[in-house]
Amino acid sequence: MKTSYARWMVAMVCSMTLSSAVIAEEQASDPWQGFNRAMFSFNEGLDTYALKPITKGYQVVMPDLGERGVNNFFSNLGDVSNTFNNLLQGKVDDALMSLARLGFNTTFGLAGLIDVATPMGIEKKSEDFGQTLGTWGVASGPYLVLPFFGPSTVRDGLGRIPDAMIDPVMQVDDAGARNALYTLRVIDTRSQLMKVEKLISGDKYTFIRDAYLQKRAYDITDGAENYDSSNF
Amino acid sequence: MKKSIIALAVAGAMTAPMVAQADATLYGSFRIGVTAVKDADADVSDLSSRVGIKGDVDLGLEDTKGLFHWEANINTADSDTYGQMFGKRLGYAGAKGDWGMAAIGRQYHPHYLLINAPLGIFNPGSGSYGERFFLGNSNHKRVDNTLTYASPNLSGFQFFVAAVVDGSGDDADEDLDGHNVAAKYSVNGLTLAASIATTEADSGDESDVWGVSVKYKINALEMMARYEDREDDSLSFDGMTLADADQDVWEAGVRYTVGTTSFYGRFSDYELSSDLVDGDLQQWGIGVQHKMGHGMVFLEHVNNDSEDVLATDRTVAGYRVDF
Repeated sequence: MKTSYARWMVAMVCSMTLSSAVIAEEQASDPWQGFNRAMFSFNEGLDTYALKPITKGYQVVMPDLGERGVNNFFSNLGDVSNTFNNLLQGKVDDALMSLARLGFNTTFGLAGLIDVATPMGIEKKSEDFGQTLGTWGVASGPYLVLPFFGPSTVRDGLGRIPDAMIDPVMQVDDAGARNALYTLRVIDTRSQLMKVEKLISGDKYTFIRDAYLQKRAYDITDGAENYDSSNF
Repeated sequence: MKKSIIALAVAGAMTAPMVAQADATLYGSFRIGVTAVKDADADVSDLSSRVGIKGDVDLGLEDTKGLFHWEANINTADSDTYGQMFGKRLGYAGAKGDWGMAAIGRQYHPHYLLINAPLGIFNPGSGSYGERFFLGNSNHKRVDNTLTYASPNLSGFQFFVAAVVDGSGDDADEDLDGHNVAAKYSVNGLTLAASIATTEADSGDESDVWGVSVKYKINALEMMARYEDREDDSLSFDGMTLADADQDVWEAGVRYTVGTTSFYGRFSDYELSSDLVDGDLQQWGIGVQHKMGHGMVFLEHVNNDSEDVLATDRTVAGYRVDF
């Protein structure tokens, strides 16, 4: 009896220690959780009542081939940012390959509607300015949910500014055409997320936050974060 | 011997059985693209497609083989853009052995091969990018009536001589209408070359050209440069005939290769002085090409700083298939 009580006590202490460690880590990465949860709710409402229904309509109306073309088109524009950010991170080869993708997809791929570069063997090397800052050693700062834009961090949120400045859509002179492209891109992005949102379980806010932070850490190191050759 | 020898064998069986018995290779390169030239509509253009047959034959001699080489234009677009269908490119016969190689017929002069060709990193022929920037092209690129000799490689050193013997049916001129002496030295990825050549027209007007080139390859990076100087007693230029024309060109190029994708660029400066016209032109180009087995796609742009009729701004999206 005495032994069993002792075991229960040890289990309790371990459990409390572990959970307090998790809470401490969560507070460190997400100190603005109150604000973030409010923004998250706002974005969820916006998504539930506007974006998601529009996206579902878009998926019904647009043939699959057309959806793919739209996605390829915006993905191709993204190679402008990939070129600059790979270069800023010192990845000259990846910058050149992003430029080659942009050139071949814009011409042979009919303005980017067809991704010819990937089957040709020129892989996409996605990078944004938030990742560039991360590569330069800038800490992510607290987790931040941005209105309309969703999960981010202070660093990644600031990184959106230079990325927006070199965004080809921003260079479109005609305001109507420019806004139409922005809207179409948002719908395209949301339609891509339709496939993965079914995986979300438990507290949606926590799930998305943890997934976002882990994905960013992985992307910044190109998947090499947890590798330490001295362990082997 | 390539699989295409089957095609040759079939052709040989029908026409000349001896060809099929030769160690011959049928080869070709189809190069077609959409070109956008400044102030002109986009156009599907042939980009110097060609087909050829080349090979060796046994002469019954020890260490010496006979050789032959024929090559012609294949015009894949309309006839006025780049040459005629089966327009002549090369046609020569020769012999090679431990002593080097000698050839007679229509062929490249050493000047072109050593000074101009190292900078030929763009896919479309140099004609598309301004013949004017290649001073050796007009008299030393695929020339009729030519005899050449190339020495064997002597510890990296090799020398070349060429002569043009173009009789005009009477005995009014010199037998020798042109000559070219050249040499190159290659060591550890570095190649240096020099060439000097003279051509004499029936009128007695002389055209002298000399040039030097350097090429260096270190891992994925290749760098190349050339300088050419040419003096003509009489030179046709934009519909005019210039006297005592002195032209010089320098050019630098670079190519960087990642896997099967290459990125390249070049800059060239041209100067002319003569009795009527002086000129100074600059030209730069950038390109990317991606190989896929025996195929290739490429994008190239060349920019000129002047409204030169022979060198306009030009962008090309091209596709090339070799066999």
